[in-house]
Amino acid sequence: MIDFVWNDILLDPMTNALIVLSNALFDNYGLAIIAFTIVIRFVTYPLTLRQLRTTRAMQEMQPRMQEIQKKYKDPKRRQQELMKVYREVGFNPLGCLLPFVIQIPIWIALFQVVRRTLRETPEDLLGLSSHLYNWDFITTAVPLDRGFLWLDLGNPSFPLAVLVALATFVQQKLSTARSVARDDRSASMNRTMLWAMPLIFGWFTFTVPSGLGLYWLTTSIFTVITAYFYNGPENFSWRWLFSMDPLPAPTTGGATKSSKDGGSSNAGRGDEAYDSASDGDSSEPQPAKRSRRRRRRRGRRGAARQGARSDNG
Amino acid sequence: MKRRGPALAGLLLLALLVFSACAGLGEADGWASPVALDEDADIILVGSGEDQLFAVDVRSGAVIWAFPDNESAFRGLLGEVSADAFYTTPVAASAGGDELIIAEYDGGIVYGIQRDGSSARVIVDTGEQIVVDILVSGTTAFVATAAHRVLAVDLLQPEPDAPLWEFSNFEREVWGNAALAESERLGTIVIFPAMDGHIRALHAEGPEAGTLAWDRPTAGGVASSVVVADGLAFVGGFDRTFYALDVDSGEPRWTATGADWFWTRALIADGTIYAADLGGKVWAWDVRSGVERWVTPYDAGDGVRAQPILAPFAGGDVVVVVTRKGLIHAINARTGEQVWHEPLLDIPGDILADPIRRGDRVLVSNDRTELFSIRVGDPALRQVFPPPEGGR
Repeated sequence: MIDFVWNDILLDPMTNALIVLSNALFDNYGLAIIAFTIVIRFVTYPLTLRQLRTTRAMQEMQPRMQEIQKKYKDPKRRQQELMKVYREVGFNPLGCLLPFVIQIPIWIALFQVVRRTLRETPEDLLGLSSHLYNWDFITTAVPLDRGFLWLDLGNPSFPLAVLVALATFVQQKLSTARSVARDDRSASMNRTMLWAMPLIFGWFTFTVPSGLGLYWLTTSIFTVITAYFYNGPENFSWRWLFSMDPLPAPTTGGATKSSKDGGSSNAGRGDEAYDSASDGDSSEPQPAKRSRRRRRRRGRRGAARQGARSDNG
Repeated sequence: MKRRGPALAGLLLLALLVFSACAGLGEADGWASPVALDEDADIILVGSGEDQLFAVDVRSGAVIWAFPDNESAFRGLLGEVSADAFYTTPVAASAGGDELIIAEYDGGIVYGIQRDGSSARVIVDTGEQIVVDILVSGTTAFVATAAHRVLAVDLLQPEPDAPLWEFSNFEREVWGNAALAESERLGTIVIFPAMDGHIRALHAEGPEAGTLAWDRPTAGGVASSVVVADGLAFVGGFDRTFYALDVDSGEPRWTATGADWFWTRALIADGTIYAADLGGKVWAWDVRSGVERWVTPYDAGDGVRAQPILAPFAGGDVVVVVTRKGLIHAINARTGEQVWHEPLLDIPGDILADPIRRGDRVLVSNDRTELFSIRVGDPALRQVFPPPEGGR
């Protein structure tokens, strides 16, 4: 049953679709991989969006959760209070996990489809034949042309590995920024991951066929672009993204500070994760400063309006 | 617990190590077919599934010699020989003594091994993957590589950097076995199928050697072996079409449509050509006209990569077909009806190498370098190599 679902429902249609796409894109397998990855990412975008929203909601609750954890020592009571907060903001703890869990098999399938169609050995191609629909335009489209730009998609490529490492760095920086560190330990872990992930994925790309690297590069770029539009261009600093600026300090201070400042945590904004550093920090990215200034202006305007109302009254 | 970052990164690295090990494309196992080294087929060369070739005494399962040997060195060869998978079936050549010519897959080295295993030599090191059997004509060996080219090498005086000729106008890999043909108009030609969907004939000899004689495009890749008979070259392609091409011109005399890709070497016997496709259908056509000999194609129930062979059964010959997953079928050659079939459940792995006949038995090797013997009509399966009791 699992085999049927995995192969016949998921893998085989995707394999054939990739081949059709390659046919449609001038027999260019590289373009087909890019287009196919983007299509799949778009199809799963509602899930990604839901996941992002849930993550944001969780981050916004972070200060309250920390307060509860400090306030209530009894685990049962603590749990009850946490659930109360969840209910208040309409947050479902599984809401973050479920879209992710649904997407995992699709990503793995996509990866496997790229791997399957790349055929390195004669056995690979022989194996592929049993997954193709018996339609002329598919059976005659194979073998696919493995050349794309300077790449042989069936062989590893060092320049591609470097590009993947770079893209992973950017992606990691964004995601680490979104998952605001709760304490020093988390911050240290974030810092390690920021450097470890690009190295690991770069090395990984260097050891597998370039077609898989191309898939990974496309995925990373798509994620970065998604984050760009999700967060809004005004909250996005490309310079910061590619800079060596340190990661945000633990939000314990930042969150408290911002809650003191304006009552609501700025840590909740994925884009604003990097504005959790102190005001005086010269390394603080411009968008963070801008958004904080905006909030202060809003706060001042609100106070002025209130003042004016009270004056009038 | 204080420094979870490095630990997590380490864990990730480990996961990716495993992942990338799995993500690498399939390992090359090779499908070199067993070859009889003597007339009675008592000594068989088995070379599929491991990085070694074994000359095996079929009666005892004992190894007479292995190439490369366990010390990674072989008499007559300088330095270490670390062979990869073998797809090429060893072919006999008398130019360099009583030699067997074989090429390893990944390193692309063509070896000449003395039939008695006494010594070996490197004929040419192409550095390119080789899947196709080395074709030998007199003192010339034709070597096709996956890097889109064919080299003609002098077996007596091989010059690695200066082959007799080279043809490199293939647009994709050459994964199908070539065949020599005598053409009235063109002289000796060598016909290569290629994954770019073209079947090309090259002049094999004379002043035009290495130049294109004709080129027949098809609608898909071609990876099956070319077989020549009666002035026709037979080959099937990924376009599910089986071609009978005139060796003089490359023009199709007839074509037939299969159910799936063709990737086998066809069998010609008594004016009939038998071919199986990867959809598991076995076809029989008249060699001259292409007319189907059977009312319907035989359904083997599983893809077939191994060549059909003739074997004796009940006083006559039957066409024996072994599928990838080890179903063995005996088909009435005249009618296409099933005579006998048996699932060889004890055979693990895939059967991709061509079987061979030894008396009334059929020898089948899988992709794990195991050799089995079976008598048609008898479900008992005997493992020849490695001997069941072990002790290779």
